[in-house]
Amino acid sequence: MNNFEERYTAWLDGALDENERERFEAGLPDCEAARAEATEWAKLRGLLRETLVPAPMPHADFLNSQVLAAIHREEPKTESAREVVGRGWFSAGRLAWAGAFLLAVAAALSFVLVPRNGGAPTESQFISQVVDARSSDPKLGAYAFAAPGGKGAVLWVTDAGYIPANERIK
Amino acid sequence: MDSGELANEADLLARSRTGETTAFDQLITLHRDRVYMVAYHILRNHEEALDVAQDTFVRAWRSLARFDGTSSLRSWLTRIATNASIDVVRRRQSHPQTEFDAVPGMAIDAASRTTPSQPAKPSESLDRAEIRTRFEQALGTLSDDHRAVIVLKEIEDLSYQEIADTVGCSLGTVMSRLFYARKKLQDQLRDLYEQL
Repeated sequence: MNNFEERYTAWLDGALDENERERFEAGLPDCEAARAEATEWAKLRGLLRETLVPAPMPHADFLNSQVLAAIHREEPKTESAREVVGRGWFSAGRLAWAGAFLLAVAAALSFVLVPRNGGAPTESQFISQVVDARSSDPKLGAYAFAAPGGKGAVLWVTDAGYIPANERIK
Repeated sequence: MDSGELANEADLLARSRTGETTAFDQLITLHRDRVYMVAYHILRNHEEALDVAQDTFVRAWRSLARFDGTSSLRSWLTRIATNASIDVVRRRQSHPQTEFDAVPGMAIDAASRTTPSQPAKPSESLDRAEIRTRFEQALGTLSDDHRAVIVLKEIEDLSYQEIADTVGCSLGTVMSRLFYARKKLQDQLRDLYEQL
């Protein structure tokens, strides 16, 4: 303690040992006045502590809910951080390789499964136009597919919930 | 706090550390009034004190793993609340817009469980609300630094060293601030305690 203020504070709080207290009091110009002031401070401190005791805070339960909500808001951040770590396996390079692999598989499948050399029937515009022209129902659609080699045809009729008895396609 | 309450607090603390928010909720309930009071006395603004109280518990939750138990939970929370309040004071000084509560935002409930149940004292002949208002006004005339040390010493009963650690200054500065703050309070409240 270097100065008067520090020593006085310690004296007031009873933080000086016996020797320090005697030396301090001996150095006071008016020890009785200082003691009277200390007594007054003790009264004021008592009143202060008696008056400013913690009172129940207003909207106390609201505080609890706010704190818990803030804590829960932080939890998803932690989880999303974990997700980011988890997503680390799906790096851009790996995704690109996976995409290329899938494209290659799709190309191979189409090569094997899709028939070539005219295997697929081609739609005959002529037959379709004939069916459309002959049908009296405008909603009725008809598509005709020519069989390979011109050996036959497939007629595909759409939107025909039923075919009325008097409906004739010639 | 008796030994049973301390044991209960230790249990709640241990469960909170495992991430159990219901246990932490109970810890908040145990300490919220005091945390709020510390903040309110330093800031003298109800809304800011509520924000600081909330911030205190969120900070505490984040730091539970680092709480080593060398100090009590109460003084640890007080330290966090004081630091958070001082942060607000510093922000205020750089952006001075805050309005202080002219009249304390809360009235003490004489029947509340936190009010000491003691025999009537001479001071009770004075109007409690009036005394409280006078104290609040007198505290309001102190600088933020002086008010913080008075609150921590006289209301929270921390040691000089604990106050120095909390507000981040030397022991000598704490004692010097206490000297001037007490003198100012005595000058302003002389008529009050002379009636005792």
